[in-house]
Amino acid sequence: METLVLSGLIGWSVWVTLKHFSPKLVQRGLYTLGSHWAKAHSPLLQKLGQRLISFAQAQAAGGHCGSTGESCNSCQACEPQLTSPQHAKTQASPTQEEPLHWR
Amino acid sequence: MDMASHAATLNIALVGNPNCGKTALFNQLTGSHQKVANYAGVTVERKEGLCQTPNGSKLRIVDLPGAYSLDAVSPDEKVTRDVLRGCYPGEREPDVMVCVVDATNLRLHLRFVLELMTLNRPMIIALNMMDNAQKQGLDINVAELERQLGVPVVETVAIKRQGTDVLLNALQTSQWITPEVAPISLDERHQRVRELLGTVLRRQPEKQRLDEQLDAVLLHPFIGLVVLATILFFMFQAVFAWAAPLMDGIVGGVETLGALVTAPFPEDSAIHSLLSDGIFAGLGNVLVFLPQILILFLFILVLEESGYLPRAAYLLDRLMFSAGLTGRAFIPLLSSFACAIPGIMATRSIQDPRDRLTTILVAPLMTCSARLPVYTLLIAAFIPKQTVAGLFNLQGLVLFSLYFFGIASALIVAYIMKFMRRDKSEHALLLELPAYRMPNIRDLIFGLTERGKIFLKRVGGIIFALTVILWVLSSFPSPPADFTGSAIDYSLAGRIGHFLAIIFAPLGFNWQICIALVPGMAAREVAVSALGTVYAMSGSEDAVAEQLGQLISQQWSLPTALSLLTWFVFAPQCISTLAVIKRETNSWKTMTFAAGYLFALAYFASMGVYQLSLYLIS
Repeated sequence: METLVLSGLIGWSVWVTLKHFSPKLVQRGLYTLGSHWAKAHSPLLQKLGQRLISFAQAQAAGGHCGSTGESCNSCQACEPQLTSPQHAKTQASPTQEEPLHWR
Repeated sequence: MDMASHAATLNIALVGNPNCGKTALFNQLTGSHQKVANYAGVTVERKEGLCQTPNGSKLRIVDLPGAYSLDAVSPDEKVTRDVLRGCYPGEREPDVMVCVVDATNLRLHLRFVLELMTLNRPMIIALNMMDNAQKQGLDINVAELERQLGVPVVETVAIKRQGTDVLLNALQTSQWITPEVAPISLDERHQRVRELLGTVLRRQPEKQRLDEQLDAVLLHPFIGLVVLATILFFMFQAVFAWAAPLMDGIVGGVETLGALVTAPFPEDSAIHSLLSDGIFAGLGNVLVFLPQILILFLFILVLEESGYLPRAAYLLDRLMFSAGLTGRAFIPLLSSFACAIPGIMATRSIQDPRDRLTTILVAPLMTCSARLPVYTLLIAAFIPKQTVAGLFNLQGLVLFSLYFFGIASALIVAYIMKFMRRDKSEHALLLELPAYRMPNIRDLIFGLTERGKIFLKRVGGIIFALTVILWVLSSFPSPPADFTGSAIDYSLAGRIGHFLAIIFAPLGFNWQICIALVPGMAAREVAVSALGTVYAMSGSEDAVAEQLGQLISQQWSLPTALSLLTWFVFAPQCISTLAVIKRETNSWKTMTFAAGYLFALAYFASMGVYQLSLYLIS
């Protein structure tokens, strides 16, 4: 039991830390893994793959689309849910097109 | 939502000059809690939310950054221009524009309204801050304004939730009024505004005096600076003086909870060690700083709400100008006192790319709230709690000087960067001074709750996670039976710490500090929790029972503490800040340069402070 609790806690900590340092990398990793599984022959693996893709999309910061990193406004992760009459989210604007330089 | 209903949702853009209450209105309409403050440039990104009208129609509300005209000069204004013109990538054209107008400043705001009308899109005007207009003795003939402009005008007081129902009713109609106005020159627009004001506005001037009287004092070149210094000084004194009883309460609570939670587990078990040495020793030492952070933010929120901050920018403009920073850099730098990330994002309101880059590069030098736990831990441990000149708290004085040290460093770095620029053109400060406003208690409580939540979320999230990881690294591999030293010396964390200690020896850092710096890269407060964990893992039972502050005051020398304080003034111990620099500048080179120069500055400044203080003490 103790080993199970410790393993769970350590696994969660590694997950949170990885997500903190590189959320996009984690999200893309999950998305890629989910995509591979979704193409597998096993129906169970396919289902798991779909779940993983949805999870990766939901993990995308600010409701951004998991596949591209930008908001597509049509996938489940990007589309605001109308479960309540009031709902809001922040859309990160694309920022600098050219690198800033001071010369 | 399927594509059909997506298309059926009306797209509403909230647009207007900066600081007219767009975000306050957005929050009211969508139930959102986006940041609002009484100065221009708070919103630099577009935000979207959904709401329903009384008849059930779905509205998608887009809150746009404030702009003075459609001739965009800064990145945030470009977002507004492109969305309104329907050429913003991935953004639908707005079906209706809700043009938010500050009723107390019609002369400026109507100019933009007239320009927006030339877009020939359906429009509704939300005449906001009507309560302030009445207080100032402004009598606005709303019906006449509506007739003259030819579009619906709705009176609102967004921060008091007044007028939003009327606005929603106006939005749910499908009979949009689209103004058909041909573009006119700027002079003609000015003339038209003058004509409009002549017919719709009557003013009782005697009621306007209070703001002017306050400005006469607060904007005075000398008295104003004295007042500003006094406010900041009082703020840092209060951080120490007011927080003490609350901090004692949290320490007691954490100790009691720790004893209760660890009691069922055997003392030699791994779970007991994790809970006691890892989680409670680590997190408890960070959690204790919550009152200080809340007190600091109480002052910042009051200053934001009152309208004083832009005045402070005006007062400091000459100083910033001589250091090579634009006056517009003041708000981003001030935001950096909370966190460098919104500060760096707020630089989008700076027009000149060189000014913007300089501001981005010096923003991490502003003392963010994540440094507060480190500063206060070291100050409480090494600076005696005594009164100076019978008035000032010495610990508060030292904290004030650390903040001052950060600001001075930023100005010096900006001054040096000024000489690295080929183009040395300078830009005068053009800043809108908002009306003074009494801070709303509800907003203050909400703002503090939000800050508290953010801090607790960090404590329960990344700080907790890193504390667990550090405990694992400090516990494994276990030492062999014949190992004579402390178990942590044999662990992976201990080995990393001892290796780094060679690099940091000229700075006076011991191996425990070196270990704490590594997870501290995620967030500065983690360094405090990491120190708590490392000392708990390496100490005797008596040492574990002691508070971290007392422990380090016995084990570190004063030069080491001063050196570590200096390190935290400069070092970019925050991976998120570096990521935002990369995103905002779109340049790995700039991010690497920022990290490089800040680490170099931190290393050499800490070494200088350590060696100098060693010399002085000896």
